Amino acid sequence: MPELHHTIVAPVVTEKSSAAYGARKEYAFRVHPDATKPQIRAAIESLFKVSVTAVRTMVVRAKRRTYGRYVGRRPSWKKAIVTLKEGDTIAVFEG
Amino acid sequence: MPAILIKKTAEEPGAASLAVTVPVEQVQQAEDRATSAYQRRARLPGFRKGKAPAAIVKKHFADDIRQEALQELIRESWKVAVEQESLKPIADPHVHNLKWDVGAPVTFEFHVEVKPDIQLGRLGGFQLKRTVRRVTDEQVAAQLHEVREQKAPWTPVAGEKPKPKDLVHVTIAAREGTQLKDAQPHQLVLGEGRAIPEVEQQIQGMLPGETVDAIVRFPDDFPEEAKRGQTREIRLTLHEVKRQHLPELDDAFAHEVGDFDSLDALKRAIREDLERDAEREADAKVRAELIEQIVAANRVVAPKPLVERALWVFAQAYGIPEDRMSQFAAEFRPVAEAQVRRDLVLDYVVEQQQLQATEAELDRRIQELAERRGMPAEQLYASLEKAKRLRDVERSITEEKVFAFLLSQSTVEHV
Repeated sequence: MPELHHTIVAPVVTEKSSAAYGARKEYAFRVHPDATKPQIRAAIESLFKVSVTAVRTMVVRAKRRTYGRYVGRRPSWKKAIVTLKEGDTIAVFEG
Repeated sequence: MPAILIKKTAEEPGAASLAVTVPVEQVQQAEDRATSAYQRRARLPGFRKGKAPAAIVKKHFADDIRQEALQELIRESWKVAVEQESLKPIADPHVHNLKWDVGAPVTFEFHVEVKPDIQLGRLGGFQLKRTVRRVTDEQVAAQLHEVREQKAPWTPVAGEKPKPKDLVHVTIAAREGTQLKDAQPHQLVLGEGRAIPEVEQQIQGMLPGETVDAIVRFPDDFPEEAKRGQTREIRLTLHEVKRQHLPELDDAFAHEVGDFDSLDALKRAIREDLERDAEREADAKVRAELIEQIVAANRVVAPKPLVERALWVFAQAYGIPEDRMSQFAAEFRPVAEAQVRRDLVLDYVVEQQQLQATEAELDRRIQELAERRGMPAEQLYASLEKAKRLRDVERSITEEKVFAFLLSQSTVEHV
């Protein structure tokens, strides 16, 4: 199993994710591309001492990026959307 | 909502200290206002402009928001303080001992210079003497002589050694061995102490066109200490000598000076001028004396903070460097104190008698000034406003009114 901080790379703080938090209390994280849902659940639970009720994942496809004449691409990455047990929180969107 | 608490902790004439406590609720509100101001214009990655949630904005700009909230609180409490304590501040307050812990009321102190409350019991009934200096014929003659000297043309004198009061044109070069260095042309009037005495002596022994080498010694009282008593080898060339010829005192001269019909008219004008000066001087003296008597009769004391402030203003005006400030302060303290006392008395009378210059009076004064200078009133107004001198004009009108009032309350004996 990958290291915890390896599994969870960073919280995704964007307009979309904060809207999802506002409406449904979902937290979005950028995770390791090879991390599985059980691994993500375990990592979140032990990192933030909370209980996770659901994990959904997706691979965010790479965007094309042109560097002058050269066409390249940014890496694809995996996003996990985590729902917590009622009452549990992670300090991402709060002050 | 609990109000901002203000307590006066210390007061001396001319200054006050206030302890301020801002309750948590107020602090919270100020913070929220500051946050939403930032939120509206924040540009954060992942969010469109102004769309980031308050919590994230707050985290991001914590210091700036705190700063802004604090400023707002200080502004607000200052307003409350001025009203509650009916302060008459003359400057912006200083903030000291600021304490702000999360979830606790914010406390700080204001230190401010205020206009002291003075009571002048006695404003009139003083005995004053107004002495107008008599203008003598000699003064007129002296003034006339000065005008003559100003108008006198310089004419070259050839083949003659220069005398004191002559204008000479010379070149002075320092000499080191056979080498000549930086030759400087000079024009000077002999006998005015513009050159060191030995150089002037040398010049007086020369004919125009002559060049001499000489050794001169700086006198022992030369302003530049390092050069005192030193000697220099110089090469001196006298190029030209000019002498002033005073114009004849006649009607033509009067006409040349400034459109006077005759010499008598010029003399009359000079006399009138001197008399006006004397009148002004007498007025100023009477006013100064009156202020002094009022100050003495009412025991007006110049508050220290105001004196300090006046000193600082003086220092600024004279461009006194920081390191000479204490010496300057010692010398000018009496002047500053007198100035402060005078202003206090005047301000008191202005307020008590409602003598503030009015808009109409200001307009009239500007109209007069404009007529005297022969320019449109609007133009003068605009240029005064631009130079920020309007307040000075206003102040002078006010002062005139104050003195007119004060003098009417006392007896002035014309001597």
